[in-house]
Amino acid sequence: MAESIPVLTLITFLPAAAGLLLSPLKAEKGAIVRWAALGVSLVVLGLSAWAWSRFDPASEGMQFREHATWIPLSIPIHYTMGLDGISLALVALTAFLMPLAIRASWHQSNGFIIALLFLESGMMGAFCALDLFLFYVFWEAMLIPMYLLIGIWGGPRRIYASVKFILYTIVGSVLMLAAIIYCGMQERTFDVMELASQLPGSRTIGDPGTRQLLFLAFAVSFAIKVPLFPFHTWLPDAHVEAPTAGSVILAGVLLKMGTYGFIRFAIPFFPDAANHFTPHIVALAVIGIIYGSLMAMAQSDIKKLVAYSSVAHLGFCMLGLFSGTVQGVQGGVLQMINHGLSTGALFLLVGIIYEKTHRRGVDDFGGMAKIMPVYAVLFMIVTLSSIGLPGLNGFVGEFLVLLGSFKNHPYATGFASLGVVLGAVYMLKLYRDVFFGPVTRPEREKVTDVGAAELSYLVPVIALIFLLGVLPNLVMTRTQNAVESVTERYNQFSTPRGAK
Amino acid sequence: MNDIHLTDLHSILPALSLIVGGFAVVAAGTLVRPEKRQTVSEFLCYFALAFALATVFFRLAAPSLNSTDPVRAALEGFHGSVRLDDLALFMTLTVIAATGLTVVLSADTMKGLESAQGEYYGLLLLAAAGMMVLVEAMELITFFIALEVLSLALYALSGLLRRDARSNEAAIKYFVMGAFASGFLLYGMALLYGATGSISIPQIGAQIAAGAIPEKAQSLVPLGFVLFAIGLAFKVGVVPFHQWVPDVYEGAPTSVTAFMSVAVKAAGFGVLLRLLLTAGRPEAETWGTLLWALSILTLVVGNLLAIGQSNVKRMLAYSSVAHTGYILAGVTSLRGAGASVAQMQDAGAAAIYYLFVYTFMTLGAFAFLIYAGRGDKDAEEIGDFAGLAKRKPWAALAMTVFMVSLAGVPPTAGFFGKFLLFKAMVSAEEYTLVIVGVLSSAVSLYYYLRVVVYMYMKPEGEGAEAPRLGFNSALVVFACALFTLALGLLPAKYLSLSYQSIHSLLR
Repeated sequence: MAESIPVLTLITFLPAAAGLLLSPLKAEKGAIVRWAALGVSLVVLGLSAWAWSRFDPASEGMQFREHATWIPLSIPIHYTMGLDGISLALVALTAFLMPLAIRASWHQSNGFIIALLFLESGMMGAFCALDLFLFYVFWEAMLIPMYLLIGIWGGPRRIYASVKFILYTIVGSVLMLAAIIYCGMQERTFDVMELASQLPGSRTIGDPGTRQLLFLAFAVSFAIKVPLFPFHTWLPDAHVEAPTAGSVILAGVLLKMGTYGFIRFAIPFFPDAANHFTPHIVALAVIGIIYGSLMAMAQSDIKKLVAYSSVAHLGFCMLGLFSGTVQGVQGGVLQMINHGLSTGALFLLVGIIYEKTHRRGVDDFGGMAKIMPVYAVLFMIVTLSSIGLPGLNGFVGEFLVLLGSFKNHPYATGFASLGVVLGAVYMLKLYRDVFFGPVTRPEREKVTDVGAAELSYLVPVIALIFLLGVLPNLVMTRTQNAVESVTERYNQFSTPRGAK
Repeated sequence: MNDIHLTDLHSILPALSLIVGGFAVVAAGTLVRPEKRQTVSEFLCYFALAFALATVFFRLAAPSLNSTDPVRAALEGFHGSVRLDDLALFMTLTVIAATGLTVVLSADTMKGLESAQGEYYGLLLLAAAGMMVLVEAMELITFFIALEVLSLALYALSGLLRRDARSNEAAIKYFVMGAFASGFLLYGMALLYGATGSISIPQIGAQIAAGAIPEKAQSLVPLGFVLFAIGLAFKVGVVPFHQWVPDVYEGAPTSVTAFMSVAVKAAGFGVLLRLLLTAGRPEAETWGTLLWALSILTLVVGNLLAIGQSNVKRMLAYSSVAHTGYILAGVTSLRGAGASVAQMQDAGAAAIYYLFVYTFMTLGAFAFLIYAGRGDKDAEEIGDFAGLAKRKPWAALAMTVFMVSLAGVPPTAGFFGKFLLFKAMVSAEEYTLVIVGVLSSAVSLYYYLRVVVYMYMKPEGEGAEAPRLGFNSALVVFACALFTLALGLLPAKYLSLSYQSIHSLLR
């Protein structure tokens, strides 16, 4: 495929370049900054859409590849970028959510918008990078803007939340750095594709104990990001304190970094160790599903409720990724996208009502359907999508995960389906308390319904929720090849299940 | 045979230009009218440094020996007591960078100080000259004289604020501890001389390697190396010989602290590398174990003590100790018995590259303390940083770059430097060092970020005096920030230079 323009480089560095150019502007020029940032994020969306349409689902391997030597060490470090179906889907998700996040932060200061642009660059780079060193640079670099977003523009406990967020992530990351260096030195390359083909049957790193340690070094780092129970405790704090756009990106994209890491690095590099730890990870995923749902049920803060629901949803993703079947992994990947959309939308919606009332406790509302009918309808759609109603996006992914994992993990799947029920319970309970019944607080009568400004970023995401609900194949045909190859790799090293 | 020719001076040209410059500054202090002294001294400093820099680049531009070997011919002088090779050139470059930035920076703090009008700049140049000779030294006496030249200049510099009790305390403490360390060094040198009968470092190495040490003197060699290493450990602030560091760093004028923390480290590690690689290979068992234990101790203690500091200058002092630990850990990975030339080169190059990078991020951070100072006090307490991002967003961003770089977060030079160090440790199979290193660098993020938290997330105190915001310190802050980012993103040029430096030792 002859690609004349370096589309991935553009997708990755356009936002940061724009951020750099916009940063000298004074506060009075806020309008320019916002419109320019929105424009750039739309250009990135356009480029991603172009890549999406040009992506060849039939071809194996990485597409839109770019390759150059960056640092000529004895083991050279390359600037290698490329996409397969999975990373394409995540790049598209990021590109889609970013304009919405910028639109939802219209009232914020210039610095906020610029931090968002740098964040986008970091996330895009991490999804596109095919050199471990390069990946690590992006992976860490995106922490700084996110840290600033929470720490400067967050809620009352923002400092605690932001420091907790960054320390949790860094502790995991540095262990991964050690593992990255070790793998790179032993295999004499940092190239992800070469490592993925050499490492599984490697003779230099052949000792199962070492391989398990290396897998854990990667896995813990990713598990913190997912977050897998019991590494999740930073998430509710970060979400509650983060500003709306921060929560949207955090839930929509940053958590996916963790699951992406598993499917791109941890599992393909060490399929044997992944098999070894599958029972543990599956158990933690299921605990996460149940625990997250129960915790969500007990919350009176809407944002915290959504945060805990993320723990549960990401548990489904992990269950799917470690199911050992193509359906399960497909479901897991699809669920990553779906969760990005529906939770992103939920945070956008909660952000709106918080802006209007400066409250977000469940008790602070009641009968809002009478006051804000349009908002109530939109909230209903997103709630149903989050629950997994057929016809909306959430259903297919969840169903595939359960279907796929039943074969290898029947009991875990049984418990996980309990999570589906619990999910419906806490979301519908939330909806009932906030929107139905009599108006409990007279002062809410004056709250206006969503206007054109809010609709401009709500309608696109809801449209996509419907679209993916009806046509999940849009994503699944593109991810099929990548999912098959990682599942095949995983199953090559699986112990016969019948033996148990 | 014993003649010294004029050409011998070529080998110490960079140091010589600073010595001449230093004396010229002192002379100017008596000859020039007081109100003009500072300007004239600054000018003389720039002139001397520019000349030194020119000689370094002239040497660097010299063609390499042959097309397959990138190493240049080294200039030897004074019958082999000094040797201007690639290692010396690179460390000299680092020292010039540190000195130059310090001189620029000093204009903001030294204005109006009577002591600044002569001896300050003169001592600065002499200290730098001592460092340059130190990294060139090939025999023990030259080594010791150079070390004392730089130490004496630094003792005086740290006591420069005559009316400040902290500054006086710093000078006395530094002097006493330093003298103690010199004692260790001399004892170590005496033992090595006694065992081998030579003061030339390569000859000592050759004797040990050839097994030509008399039976009775065998035990002197490891003991000599250990005492020698301890003496140097004092100078660069390795735990448990670090107690002077926080007090001296806090008490000395901030520009002197900045200079000390980077330049002494560069010189100290430069000479340590030379010693270990030219003479110490056969004794790797002894000093290897010692350095291994010291580097772990330094990493852990330095980072843990830094957490509790509310005075940023003191925090940076402990952070300087911690960074000594990272570099030392890199040097430790030279000890591997089966280490190949490539592995040793990786380790050595990582250490010097880190020293180079460290110069910019630390000098920048100290420059920011001067920049953000209020009245005639530098910003030291963490509270002084509150709300600075609102007032000066760009400078605060630069400080954030330094903090993040010191913590080793990409895409900064500090990350790349640490990456190289960890890579060297992994290839030498020093896994304990790697684990301790990465975990302590994660811990360090906590105290570096506290500065960022105050700058960005806390409101400025009521009725706070407006920050000083000097022009020169701003210049240094931004120059250092630029270098910190550039050395992280495009490290190839200086990286190859650091590889050559080590290569020149291993031939």
